[in-house]
Amino acid sequence: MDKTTAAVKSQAAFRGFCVRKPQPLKELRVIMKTKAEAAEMRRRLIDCHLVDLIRRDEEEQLKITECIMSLLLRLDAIQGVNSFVRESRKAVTCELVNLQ
Amino acid sequence: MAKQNKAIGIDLGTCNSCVAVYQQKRVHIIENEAGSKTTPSMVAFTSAERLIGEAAKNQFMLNPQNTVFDIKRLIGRRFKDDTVQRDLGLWPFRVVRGKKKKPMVEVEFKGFTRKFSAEEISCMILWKLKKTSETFLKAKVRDAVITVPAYFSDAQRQATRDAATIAGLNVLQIMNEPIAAAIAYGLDNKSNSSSQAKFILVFDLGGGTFDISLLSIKKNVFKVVATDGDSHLGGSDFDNNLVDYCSQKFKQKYNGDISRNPRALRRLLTACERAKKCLSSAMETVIELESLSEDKDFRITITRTQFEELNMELFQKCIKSVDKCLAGAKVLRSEVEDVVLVGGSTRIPKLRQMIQRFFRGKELCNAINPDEAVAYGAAVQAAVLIGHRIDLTVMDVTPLSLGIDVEGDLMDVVVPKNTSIPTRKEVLYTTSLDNQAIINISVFQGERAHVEDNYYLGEFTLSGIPAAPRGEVSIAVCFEIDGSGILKVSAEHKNTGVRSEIVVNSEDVGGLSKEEMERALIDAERFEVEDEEIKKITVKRLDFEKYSYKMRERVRQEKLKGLMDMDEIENIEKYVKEAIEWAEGHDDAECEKLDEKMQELKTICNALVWTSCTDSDDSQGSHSDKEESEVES
Repeated sequence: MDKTTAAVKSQAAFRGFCVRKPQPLKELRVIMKTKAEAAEMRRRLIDCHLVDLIRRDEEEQLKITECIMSLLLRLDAIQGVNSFVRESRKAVTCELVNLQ
Repeated sequence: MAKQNKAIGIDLGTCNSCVAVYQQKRVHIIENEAGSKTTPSMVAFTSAERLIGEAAKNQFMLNPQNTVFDIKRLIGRRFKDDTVQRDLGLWPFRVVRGKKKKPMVEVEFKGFTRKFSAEEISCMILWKLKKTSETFLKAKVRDAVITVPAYFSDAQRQATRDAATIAGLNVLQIMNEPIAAAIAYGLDNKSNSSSQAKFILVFDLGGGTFDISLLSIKKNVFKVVATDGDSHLGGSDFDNNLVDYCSQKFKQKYNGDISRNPRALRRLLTACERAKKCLSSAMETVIELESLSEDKDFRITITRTQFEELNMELFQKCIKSVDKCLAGAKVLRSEVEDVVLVGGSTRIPKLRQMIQRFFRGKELCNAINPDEAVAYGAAVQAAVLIGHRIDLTVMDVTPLSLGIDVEGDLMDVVVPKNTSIPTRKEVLYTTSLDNQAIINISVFQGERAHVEDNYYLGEFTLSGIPAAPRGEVSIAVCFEIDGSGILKVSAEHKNTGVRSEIVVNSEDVGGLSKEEMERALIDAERFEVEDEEIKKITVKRLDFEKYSYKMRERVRQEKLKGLMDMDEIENIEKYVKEAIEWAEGHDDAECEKLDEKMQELKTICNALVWTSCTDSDDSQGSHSDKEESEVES
């Protein structure tokens, strides 16, 4: 095998690894961000005034469900999770589903 | 020669549109502001503004009644057409019958109910694509080639042309999509040497429609020989099959029904779409949704084989269409030289394999991204038309026969179906009554024997025919179709030279009349101004908010310093707080109101700025302010 082929081969392997390697931290970061947003949403929903508004106004209701939906979809989009990440994701998902 | 002048190619699709330009000897697909190469063909109307493309798609769930899509299924059609009536029930937006039997989309826009024709909606999409390309090219864009499906009638082509004109585009050509795709693969040049006609099959399976077109090419001239397909078959059908399968599995596993839970279904649909895309490259993928329904987790592994099995019926339907198309044109599959794949769903490996097997292992043309192939070809053609290269002529054909009515309301075909254009055909007719001085000529399009079953294009009269017994007068009726498919019919009495003619234009085929066109043009300009206005207001709003937040921060600092009068500071604090609340509560504030508020806030906060300046004395501008006020006092 000549030098160039060898170089190409090892670089390909390395780059492939970079793409495929599990990135639990990155995933966790997305989950935490979503969690914070979910908490914010919950906080807002405690506000009686807003709840009242949502009950009366269909459009407001739709807006809130859409917000929750987009957060849920973001969580669903996380691929190739390990068991640890999965657990934390599940917690946030449950919270969001309950909010719905 | 035309270096400065760039011409774009536009693929105006049912679900997604794409725009491309030819520059520096290669075709560049232009990305939209969201960075994606295709733009959803969607327009949304809200109480405040008009949204086009990605923005419209994003707010679809919030505002389905006023989000218009699939407009290509309406353009150039009549309200009572079967296809229109069938599609009506599938759309969340309202379609009503407008003037001249045209379908109109009815939406709530800025608190008013407004009607838009299909041309106007298409125009908005085209306008958006034009803006996108102008941003990319940093120059004005005028010339464009726009593609339409091969089966589009004259009326539909004309309506598309009208839409482009309103959007401020100069349409160089209305081109057939399959031909554009074939050009993208350079199949036009490959045939240079051989003088024999060769066949190309274009297989287009997009987001919502499925089209098969058989082209023939001879000495650089393209012809559409036959078309087939299904107007309601596309990528979303594969997703739906997968969703059905998953919800069944879910039912088996947990005995829970999710088919009545729209939220769960939506999550599942999104996951299924992702899985489908994944399966085009991977052999298996996992769908994993936590708490899908009633706190039950759903996890399923889908293999490529499973996915293929689920959709086998649809795949086979596609192959059958290919077979039917070839049989209709009496072309053997071994005669097909090239097979071109277009549309995102042709990425499915099984489908490719089936097509390849159908054509006995022929190499398929799939090197160009199938989503972009049509726009790619259109861009090449546009470049050719403004003079970049000249070794190519594209010839289209008439999709339907054209003719006039003769005695007994029969259709007499003058230009048969699939005649290549431009063309000119002359036929001699005679009078049917003795001493007939006036002859009325109605022009029709279609394949049926009786004219009333065909599509009426227009009529005109030839008067001043000299008196003669019936059958003695000969009148030459001439059909002329120009390069972009616009039909001109003329009649002439040979001996006297009396002549009359009609251009089958927009008005006569149910397109836009001149006045409507002008109104639409004005509307288009107005909308552009309104969009600008909204942008201006948004900037003002942001400025206002930024300023008030800055002032709030300042007040807090001052409070800590304790150098200022406490009452005064609290007063300002109260005012800033009010301003912030006001801005939050008034999303729709007008420009002047914002200016006014800003001025007010600035006056109040000046005291703050002023005092802090006397402390730190860091800004020249404020310094002079101070001097002025001293002079005043």
